[in-house]
This record gives sequence, structure tokens and C-alpha cells, in this order.
Amino acid sequence: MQGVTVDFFYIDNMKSKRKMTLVAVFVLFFMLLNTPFLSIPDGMIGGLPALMLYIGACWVILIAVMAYFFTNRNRHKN
Amino acid sequence: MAGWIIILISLGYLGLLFVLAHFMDKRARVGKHLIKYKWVYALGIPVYCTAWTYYGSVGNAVNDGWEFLTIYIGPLLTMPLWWIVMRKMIRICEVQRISTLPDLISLRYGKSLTISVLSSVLIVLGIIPYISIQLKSITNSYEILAYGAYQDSNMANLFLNDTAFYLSVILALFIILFVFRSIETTDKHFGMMGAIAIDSVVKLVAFIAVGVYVTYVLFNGFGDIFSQIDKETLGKFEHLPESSGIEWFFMLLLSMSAIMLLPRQFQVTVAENTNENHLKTAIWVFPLYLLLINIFVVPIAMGGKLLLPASIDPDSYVLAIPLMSNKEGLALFTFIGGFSAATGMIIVSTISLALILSNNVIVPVILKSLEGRNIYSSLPLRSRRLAVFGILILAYLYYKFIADRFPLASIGLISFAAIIQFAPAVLGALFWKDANKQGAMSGLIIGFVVWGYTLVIPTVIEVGLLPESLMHDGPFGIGWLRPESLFGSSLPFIAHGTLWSLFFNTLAFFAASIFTEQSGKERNQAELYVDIYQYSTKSAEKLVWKGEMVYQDLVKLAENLLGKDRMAEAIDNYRQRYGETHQDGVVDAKFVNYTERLLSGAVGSASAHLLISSMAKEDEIELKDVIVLLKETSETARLNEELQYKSSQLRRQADELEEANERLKNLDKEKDDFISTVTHEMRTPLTAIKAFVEIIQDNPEIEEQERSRFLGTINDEIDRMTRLINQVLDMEKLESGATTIASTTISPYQILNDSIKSLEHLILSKEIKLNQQFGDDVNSVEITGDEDRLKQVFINLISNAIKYASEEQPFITIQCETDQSALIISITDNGRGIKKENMTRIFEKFFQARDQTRKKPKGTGLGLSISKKIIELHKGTIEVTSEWQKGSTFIIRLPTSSYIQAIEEEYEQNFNSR
Repeated sequence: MQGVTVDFFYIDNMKSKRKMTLVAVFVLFFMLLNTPFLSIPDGMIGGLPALMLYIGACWVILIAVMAYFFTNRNRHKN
Repeated sequence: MAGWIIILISLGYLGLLFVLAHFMDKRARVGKHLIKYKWVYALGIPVYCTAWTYYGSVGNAVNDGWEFLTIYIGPLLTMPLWWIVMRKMIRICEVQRISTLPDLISLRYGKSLTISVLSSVLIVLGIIPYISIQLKSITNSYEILAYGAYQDSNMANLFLNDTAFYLSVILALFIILFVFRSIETTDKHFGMMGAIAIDSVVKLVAFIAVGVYVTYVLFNGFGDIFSQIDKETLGKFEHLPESSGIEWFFMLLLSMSAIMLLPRQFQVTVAENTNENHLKTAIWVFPLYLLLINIFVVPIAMGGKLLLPASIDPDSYVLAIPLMSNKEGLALFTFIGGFSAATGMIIVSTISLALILSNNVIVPVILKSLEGRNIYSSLPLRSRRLAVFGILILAYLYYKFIADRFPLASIGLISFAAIIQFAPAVLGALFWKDANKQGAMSGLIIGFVVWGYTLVIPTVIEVGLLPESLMHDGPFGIGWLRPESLFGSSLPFIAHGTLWSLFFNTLAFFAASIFTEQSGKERNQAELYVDIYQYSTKSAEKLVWKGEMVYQDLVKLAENLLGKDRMAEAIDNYRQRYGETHQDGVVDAKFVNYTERLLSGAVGSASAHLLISSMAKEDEIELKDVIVLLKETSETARLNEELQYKSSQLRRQADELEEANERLKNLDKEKDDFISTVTHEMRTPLTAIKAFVEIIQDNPEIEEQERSRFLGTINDEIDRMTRLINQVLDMEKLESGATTIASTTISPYQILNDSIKSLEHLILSKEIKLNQQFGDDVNSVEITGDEDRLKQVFINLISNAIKYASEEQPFITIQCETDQSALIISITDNGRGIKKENMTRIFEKFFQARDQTRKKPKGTGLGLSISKKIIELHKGTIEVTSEWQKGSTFIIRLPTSSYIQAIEEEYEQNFNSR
């Protein structure tokens, strides 16, 4: 029965690993898009507000991460 | 612009939308979606972007800088959690046939009618103001377009002389005609979703059109606008004000809960979902949409500030800028964009609120008053239609009396703060089995009381309906109870209200859940909700129900509501899945639960439960009943898992056996091929020998010269047979390991030279140009091996090269060089080469004999196999490179004695040093 335990533990672990990754992405971007991180960009870069570029970059990266995570079928089977 | 033109175009747009919705619905019902539903679904979710986004974001950006973005960053941040939270909600709603948020909550908390009514009323109260600001935005934008400015709100214009009133009536008719046609609330509204998706595209394109016009026509891009704006305004965009961190945080919380719990979002994301995998598309399409619709908000805000008089309301910049530039076409298109943003929101919100009111308030109240008498399908349908008109009239009155005096954003945020009050109860329902009815009710009541006190009362005071002293001095002069400064706290208005309402709500929810008992019925639902993936396919079996109910009564009740055909179909489905529906006229718990879920799909869970209870002699479910079932369930689950594992093991073993069997079959086939090839190869010379012997035997008078020629041929054929037999034996010995090679120190260079010499006459006779390229130090390289065997290999390869070299200008190149570890010999011909697909098979036994694609050459077909075996016995490798019609190169690598010795010494040293 040892094999049974290990096998199911592995499957559960994989599912919970996926969920943990998603939660980790959420926590990371929640921190990045809140103060104090949001207070760091200041002034203008290339004629545009640094804060705008920072928020825009975070936004685009999160979309890319989500698209990668959810359009890669093998990665996200349940 | 003439008002009638605007009205005509708006009506035309709505008409077109209705026609498209009807067409899309018709196509979808026969399974022929106009475009893939996952895209319609993903584009339905931006119903989140209302007139508030369209007009209000610009106003908000002018006043508060980047703060307007929090309404969109919140939803963006929730995207990683959608697969965990929204998917679970979708699954629960699908299994339990739920279509509204109050149904989701009340079913989880013991099918409580109190919670159902309470949450419905609170949602309606929270959302009516939100719908009203859509009416306000449409009216305002119409006035700007038609008259160039807002008109004073005139109560004389109430109802019959008011555009907003007519709009409300038209939208109500649309909903009744296109949406509330069937009693089943869990039916998907493909037409409505199609219309919302079109709205999403129209408002996005229209907003971007204005944005591009302002940024690139009126100005020279983003940089130009930022360079022209005054310092004070620029300061709002250069950095986040130090004090705004708290407000930013709470605004994010509000918008995060709004995207998941707003009734219209619940409707499009959960109730209209047909496949959980569609979430995967929505998860990245929706934030992309939000990004696109927000890109030009700041340029429009700044452009408006630079170009328009200060008296113009920033909420109207989107329209005022094209009007100022006399771009009437663009202004009209922009108006249609805002119109679509508002109508989309009004349609979906009204649908969801009407369902909520009908299922959780109107129908249950009527059922109570009917006291067990049967109801018919017309009742829920009529109550929904009535609710549609009721909601739109309420929203219209709110707009006329209250909303018209406030900016769009502030009313929207108050609605958001109302919706976040549901977050503890909903998240608890999904993830915490011990959450109970008392907790949910306490949290909701306290949360909404504090929400009303801190956020609604100040608004009412501002309108003049309550005395201002309440705001300044607090109730009864108690300063620390001032609505905008509870307990003396000093926070921005929305952050203040959200903090205290959510704090008390969460505290009450947890405290009551921990300190009060959960009923058996609640526990039952808690298990089904939290572990939904485990139960989703068999939930009817996993519900405890105790009581007695007559089959005929239950079926009649369901038939009255759902229709005879639908019920007959449902009973058939039940029988196929679970077996008989009743015994001696009495139904079991499974069938009761099954029918209750069917009824939930039509009238909501609260009404369905009421209907069942009114007909059955129901007993109270005790916690121990649920625990017994849970034990059975977990045992079954464990056994299922074991079975699955064992079945996967068996599958694996079967695969292995199949593989072994396949290998054996191949070996058997190889053996058959081998025997067949050898016998075939031997039969040819034998036939020739027999023929010549017969000729000689039958013709004793044959001439001596002729006889001698025949005998010579017989001798050649015998030689060929002998060679074949020898090679077969040789191969067999090499493969079985019966042959060992001599281990003497030899010079491969010398052996190669000898081999070339022995074939020189053949090379000369065929006029082959031989090109020998030998490295300087190759003659000194020695290896350990068998001279005769190596010579056999070299002769075989050179003979092959001679045999296959091109007939016109034949040439062979023999190269010999050395690196530090091995002697490399390559033999190249300019023959026809080997086809790519045969490259891996060239060293197989009898390959050339089996290859039917070419003319059969001389030879046994064993030469290369034997050569490969011999080289491998010398610890070397042999490989071939070839290009079809250009020739082949056989490359042999033989490790030198010195290299092997060095390796052995190193190994010995390592071994000894351990």
C-alpha cells in the first residue's frame, strides 16, 4: 500500500503546487501594485510618468503570465 | 446636434443589437455559434466597464490622478485566483443548478429563507444606485450632445417627458422579450451574451477612437500632452501621493470583490458559463481589454483640461472634446460607445436582480401565502417580469432624486462597498466547512448596517434628507460615532466606510461561526461546497434528507412548474442513472434531492426548498446523519482511489506485456526473415549447380571446353554458397559470443595498406581513381585487436566502395587520421548513396537482400553486419553518412592502445584511492 500513498500524494501535491503558484503570483502582484512599491517610481522617463510605465509593465507582465499559464494545455490539466 | 437624430440612432443601435441577439441566440440553440462561445464569454465579462469607466474614469483622473486605475487593477489582480475561486463557484452552480448569488449563499447556509431574503434585499439596495448612474450617464451625454451642456434636473420632466424613463421601458421590454422567456433560470442566454459582447467591442473601439483623436490629432502623442500640462496636474501623475496608499489599498479590495460578486459579473461569469475551460481564455482576454480601454483615459483627461473651459464637468470630457473640435460624427460614435456601456450594464444587472428578487423574495413570499397549494410556471415568469419593471423604476427614481447630484464614481464606489459585504460569507461558503448560518447572517447584517451608516448616511445628509449636525457632531452629540469618522478614525471617505463595515462584518462572521452550532443540513451542504470536485458528479447521492413524500405529489408539483415533457425527460434521466424513483408510492431522499435541484433551476433554491417542505413530512436532519454519510463517502472515495491506482497499475503491466510481446513478434519475424533469406540465397546457386550437373550428365558427348566452362561455373556457385555459409556461421558466432578476437598489438594503418594492395588489381581493372589521404602520424598508431578481423572489415568496406562507385568517373577516397584517443578511417565512394530512410537499417542483416527497391547486387548482405560486430569487439564504432545520388562515407573509429591504457590506469587510480 506504500505505493498507493506515494502516488496519490504526488498527484495531490501537483494540484496544490499549481494552486500555490497561482496564489504566489497573486501575492507578488498585489504587493507590486500597492504601496510601498508604488511609491518608488517617481518623476518622468522619456517624457512619460515613471509610475505610468511601472503600472503598465506590471499589467502587461501579468497578462503574459496568465496567458502562458492558461494557454499551455499540458501545464494545466485537472 | 438635433435630439431626434440622436434618439433615432440610439434606437437604431438598440434595434440592431436586438436583431443580432435574436440571431445569435437562434444559431446557438442549434449548436451553431456565430463565433466560438469562449470569445463571446470572454467579451461578456467587460460588462464590468460601465458608463462609470467610459465617462467617470476621465473625471476621476482629472480630480485624483491614477486613483481611477484601482477599479481596474483590482480585477486584474484577481485573475490568478479565478481558477481557484470562480471555477469552484461555476462548478457548484452547475451541480446545484444555481443562477444567483443569494441562492449560492442561502443554499450553503442550510437553505435558509432568511438569508436568501436578506441577501437579496441587500444586493438590490446596493445595486439600484449603480444602475441609476447608468441612466444618469446616458441622459447627461444626450444633453451634452443635443444641447452642448447638462440641463437642470427638472422634476416636471419626471416620467413622460424624460428620455431616461423611455430608455428604462425599452430595456425592460428587451429583457422580457429576449431573456425571460423560459422558466429555467439555468438556461444559458446566448443572445444576451452576444449582445453584451458586441457592446464591449463597440465601447472599446469608440473610446479608443476618441483617445487616438485627442492624443495624435489634437496633440503629438503622449509626451506632448504631458509636456503641456500644468505642474499641479502633472504632479498627480508623476507619483502616488504619500497619503493615498491606504485609499489605494481599499479601492483595490473593493474592485477585487466587485469583479467576482457584483450580480452582473456573477451572471456573465458564473451563470452564463457553459464550460469551465472558457475561464482560461477570459483570464487573459479580460485584463487585456481593461488595459486597452484605460490606455487613453489620462490623455483624454489632460487634453480636456488643456482644451476645454474649467466650467465643463470632467465626466463629460470624452464627449465634449470631439464636440469642441466640431467632429460631430466622432461625437456621435462616442455617444454610442457610452450608450452601449450603460445599456449593457443595465440589461445584465436588471436580469440578475430580477432573478434574485423573484426567486428569493417574491416567489417564496407568495408560496408562503399559498400554504401548500400548487403553483404554476406562470408565477415565477410573471414575478421576474414584474421585478424587471420594479428595478428599473426604482433606479430611475434614485437617479432623479439622488444620483443626479453626485459624480458617477462616488455612487459606483458606494455600490462596490455594498458588494464587498458578501465576501466573507461567500469565501467562507466555498472554503470553510465550519462557517454557518448564524455567522453569515450576523456578518451581513452588521456589515450592511455599518456600510449604510458610514457611506449612505453621509450621502443622504448631503442631499439634505438628514440634518448636517449628524455629520459634524455625531448622533446625540457623540463625537466618536460621526459617520465619516467612526471611533475618531481619520481616513478617506470610501476607505473609512469599507474598513469599518468589512471589519465588523468579518469579525461577526467568524465569531458567530465559531461560537454557535452548525445544523446537520448546513454541514451537509458545507461538505458539498468545499469538496465540490469530489462530489460534483454524484451530489444527489450525497445529500441527507429525512422525511416522507408521495411520488405522485412530487411529480405533479414539478410538472406544474417545469411542464410534463421536461419532467418526463428528467425522470428518464434519473432512472438511467440511479434506478427506480419510488417504492410503494413513496420516494427516497435521492429522488427528492434530484427534484429539488430541478426546481431550483426554475424558481431558485429557497423557493424550491419551500415547495418541497410544503408537500413532505420532513424530519430534522441531525449532525450524526451527515457524519455517517460522510464516513461512507470518504470510505468510498478511498476505495475508488485504490481501485483507480490498481487499475492504472494493471494498465501499466498490460502495456509492458504488450511491448514484450511486440519485441518477441519482431524477433520471430527477424528469424523467419533470416531463414527465408538464407534459403533463398542458397537456392539460387543450388539451382544453377543442379542445372549444369544435369546438362553434363545428360550429354556425355559434350565438348571438353564446354564441360570445363560448366564445371568452372559449378565451382563458382559452390564457392558462393560456401562464402554464404561461412558468413552465416561467422555472424552467428560473433553474435553468440562464441568467437573471440585476438588481443595483439597491431598497426591499423599497415592493415589498411595491405587491404588496399590486395584490392589494387580490382581498382585498376575498373579504372577507379583512388585518393589516399593519410595523416603524418597514423603509421605509428597502434591498437589492441585482431589483424585478420580488421582486414576483413577494411576489405569489405573497400570492396563495397568499388562495387558501388559511379560508373562514370568513379573514385574512392580513403582517409586515415588520428586524434588523441582514436584512429579514424573513412572510406568514401561517389556512388548512388543511401536513402535517408535506409540509413539506420544499413547495418541490419540481409538488409540489401530484403531491400526490394533496388536491383539486387552481388554479395550476401551480411558483410556490413559482420563488420559492425567486429568493430564493436574492438571497442570502436562504425557509422555512415550519405547523400542520395552523391555517394556514401563509412567512418570507423578505433580507440588507440595508449588511450585505453590511460583510461584503465585512471580507473585503477580512482579505485585505489577510495
